[in-house]
Amino acid sequence: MKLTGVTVISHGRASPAASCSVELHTDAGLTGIAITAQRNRSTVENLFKSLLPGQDPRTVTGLWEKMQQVRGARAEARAALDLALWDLKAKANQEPLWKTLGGARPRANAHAASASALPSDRALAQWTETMMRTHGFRGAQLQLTGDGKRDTWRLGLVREAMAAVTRSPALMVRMGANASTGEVLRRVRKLERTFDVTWVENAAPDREASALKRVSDGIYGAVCAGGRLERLGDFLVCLRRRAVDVIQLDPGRLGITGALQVADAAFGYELPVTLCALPGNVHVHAAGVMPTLMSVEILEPAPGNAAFTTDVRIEQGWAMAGDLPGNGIVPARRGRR
Amino acid sequence: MKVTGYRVENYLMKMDRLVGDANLPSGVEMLPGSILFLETDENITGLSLGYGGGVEGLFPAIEGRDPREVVALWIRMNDFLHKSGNEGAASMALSSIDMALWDLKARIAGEPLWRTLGARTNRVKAYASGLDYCLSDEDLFNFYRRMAERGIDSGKLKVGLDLKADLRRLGLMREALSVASRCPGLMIDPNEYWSPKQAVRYVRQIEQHFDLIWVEEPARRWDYDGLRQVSRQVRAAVATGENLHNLSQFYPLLANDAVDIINVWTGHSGVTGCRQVAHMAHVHGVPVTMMNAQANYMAHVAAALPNHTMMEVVDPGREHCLKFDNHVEDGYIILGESPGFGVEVDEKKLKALQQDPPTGRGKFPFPRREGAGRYIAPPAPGEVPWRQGE
Repeated sequence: MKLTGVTVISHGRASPAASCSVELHTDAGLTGIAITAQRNRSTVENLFKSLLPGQDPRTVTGLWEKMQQVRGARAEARAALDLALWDLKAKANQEPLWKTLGGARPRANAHAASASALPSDRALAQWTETMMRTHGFRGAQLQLTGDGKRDTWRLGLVREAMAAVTRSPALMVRMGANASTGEVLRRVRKLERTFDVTWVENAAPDREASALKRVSDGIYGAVCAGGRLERLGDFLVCLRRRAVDVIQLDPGRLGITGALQVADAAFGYELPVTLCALPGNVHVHAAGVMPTLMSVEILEPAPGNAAFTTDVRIEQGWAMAGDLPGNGIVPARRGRR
Repeated sequence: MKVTGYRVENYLMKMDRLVGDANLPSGVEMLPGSILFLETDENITGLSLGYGGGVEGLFPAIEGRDPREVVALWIRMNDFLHKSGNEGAASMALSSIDMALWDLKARIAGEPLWRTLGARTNRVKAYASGLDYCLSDEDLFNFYRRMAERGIDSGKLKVGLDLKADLRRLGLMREALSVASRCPGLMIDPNEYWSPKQAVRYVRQIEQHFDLIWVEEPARRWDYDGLRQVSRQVRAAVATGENLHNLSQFYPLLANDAVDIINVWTGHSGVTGCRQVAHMAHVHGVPVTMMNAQANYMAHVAAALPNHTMMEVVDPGREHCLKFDNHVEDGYIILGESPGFGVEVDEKKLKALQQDPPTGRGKFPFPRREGAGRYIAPPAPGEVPWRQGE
């Protein structure tokens, strides 16, 4: 099987995010699909043209290394191509991606998060209603506002909603931007008088291992970081210094291939990993092959939008990938294939 | 598709020549072999070579499961071994099952394993390794020359008991390889015979005459302080890992900067575990090199590892009941298009080996040599052919 071309199709108003579909075409008539941000369009096209025509998509691991060697290519574009290549590899086997990767049907532990900070009480109540009461999430991540009293009230609301579904809720918090390490420590310690905090995100920038370590040593909960990192080596200092307690992997930057590599390294350090959400929740496919997977992030529990659908469902707070060949993304305009 | 049953075939083989190292310089030629066949409900059988013992203990973890879910099954088997650990004989059983599952996964997809694993190329750079402490100077030269004629430009020599002889033998190896390269790659392997400081002294003296790529196992496998010390005090890279069994055992080595190159092999908990070790090393910027394997079958895995350098080829003649689809050419192992590992068993020859076991000198595995880690017990006259005429 050989790659013959790439088409990038803008989702326009069909998707609330400025997204597009990357479609890889082959001489076998199969099409590999990934969803990425509109801004990656030209990098995706250029990277494809310079490296991929005529290549066999089943050799995706080797192609990933090849793409690594292109300097200056945006990580998100590289990752989108990797995702589409994995989709093709699975479709060539006529099996869902989770199986191609070697996983058993993933019933991945999942936690709810929100792409926006949910600033208003109404927005928070609505989100809580959808995520906890409708979808049954037993874990939730909330962005802090910086107002201690208000954050306590908001976290209480989320915890209460989860208490209806589980006896052991996981409460994660995300710090706002630009908080100093001292401020992060003060705020989290204060929250920890009232709440059992599972992890803290954005405690410091992902590369600042010293600051992350300082927070980890100063709070009871875990420090979760890594979601902005784009290269394997970026994770090294956090691993070696045990600065981070939960390694966050974004397959939207690392691709499936890179995420699997870092997940194995995290396993070597016996550190739990969490996967950042991808459009359509196709990241759930990779959950089953990560030995220390802790939880997958879910921003949007609905299987797709007006532009595309996927067959990843949320069942009582667990994420489940389906049986469609590949990653399960189906563009809306053509219907099911 | 489901795994329904298994069959283990044990046999004894007589290799085409003796192999030996610092722990048994006189060498052995007898090697126990084991083949695991994993059967499915769809008439496809997967197989793995090497270590079939103890399968019955782990088989319940995979019985009735889809072999394509191999990584999840690896996690499951690893969890099964929680209490006693993924170590020793249990680890070997896990390895053999995992490899047979990968063989099945590739066979189901109708492709060679290197492609299932996502490799872009079917070529793996090879280096020659004589396991040669038991070889006469002439046989040593002929072995490396034969390898060099197949394009192999690097060699790994067994050393450790006699500096003067080792220097002479290194020269012979370099000369033999010189038809493949103007600057052959040289490695040495004392197989943990030295203490760290013995290693530093010995290697330093060798390095006055030869530029070495790596020195393998210059200290005990777990001794991250000792290995790091050697690494800091010699020019050559320190390589180790072949006697470890799972990823967790690499943590102290990598986290403490103790190792420059990792030797990976099947015994790191199968294809899955081997890949985990390579990935962890890759994140640390440490390259890996694949150990030798019967019929070179691990080249399939090596081809797909992002940080793989070159694979050990020993070729002592231990494939009498096997047919395999790869060959060495222009210094590379070239993998074919046969599905899975590309290895098939000649059941007739296997049966013959089982019914009429060959006899010969010694038997794998052999013990550690006297003096190891403390003092050097040089080969006695007659113990190795190169001491006969001295």
